[in-house]
Amino acid sequence: MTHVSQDTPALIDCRTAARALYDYLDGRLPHVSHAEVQQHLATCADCADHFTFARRLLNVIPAAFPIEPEAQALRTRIVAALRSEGFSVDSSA
Amino acid sequence: MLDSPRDSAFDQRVLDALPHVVRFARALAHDEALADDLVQETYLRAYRSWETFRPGHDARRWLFTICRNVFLRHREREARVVDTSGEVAELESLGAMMDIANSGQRGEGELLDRIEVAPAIRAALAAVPEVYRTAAILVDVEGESYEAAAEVLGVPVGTVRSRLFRARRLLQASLLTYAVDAGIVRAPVPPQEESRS
Repeated sequence: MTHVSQDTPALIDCRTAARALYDYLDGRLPHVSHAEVQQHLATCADCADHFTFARRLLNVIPAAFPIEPEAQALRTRIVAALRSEGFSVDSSA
Repeated sequence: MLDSPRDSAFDQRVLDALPHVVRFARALAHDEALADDLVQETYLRAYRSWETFRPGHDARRWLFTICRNVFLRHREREARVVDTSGEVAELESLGAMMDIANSGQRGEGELLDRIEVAPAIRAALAAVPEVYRTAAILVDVEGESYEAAAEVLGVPVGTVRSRLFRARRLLQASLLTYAVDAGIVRAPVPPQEESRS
């Protein structure tokens, strides 16, 4: 990876861009401006690829942990346990 | 039997959050049976301490906090891992981050297209130490803000940011290792060998 582009010097180098990766993707940049990172990504294909990969990864993480349709057996078990503690609502259904 | 107002409120505010608590516990424990036990214990503790729940607060986050505490009791050894989530750890992570960035030359861009992503991510996240994993679950799985995650974890927002940075970096590294082991992308080449070739 080119740490500073030879052709078009960027305002920040790859290390600084890597430090800003998640703040950039999460829209929180305390140290490096969004525009500076964008400029670096425009001149560094390796960092741009890595940012794209990181963004895609963050986007697919939630799908790896789907919300289960109501876990009825577990709910019934929990309500039964709560009843032993005095819970009075018929909430097992 | 008449429903008590206390129990009706618990039913509406807390039991309705069950699917989210189940997902949180399963992501945390990576073991369905253990996760279900954690969820049951979470609800028992929540019921016993319902009077401490502050009206207007987010019941889901309250349950996440309890669930994590229950989990940590099951994993006390892991909970004693030194929290190096400050700036030093963040800087230490940068070197590995740069290695991962280099992997673009080895097929990283195609990695997510070439592996069965969901099980790989679940396994990779399970390998991340709990102190970092929980931050990733709260923000990246549950979609909580940094501020909400800080509330659940009882730490400053900056600590959430650092833990999240490390969790995501470890997750990426773990996925890359998985892909290398599976022969999907090429193994990293040490820089000195690369320059000789």
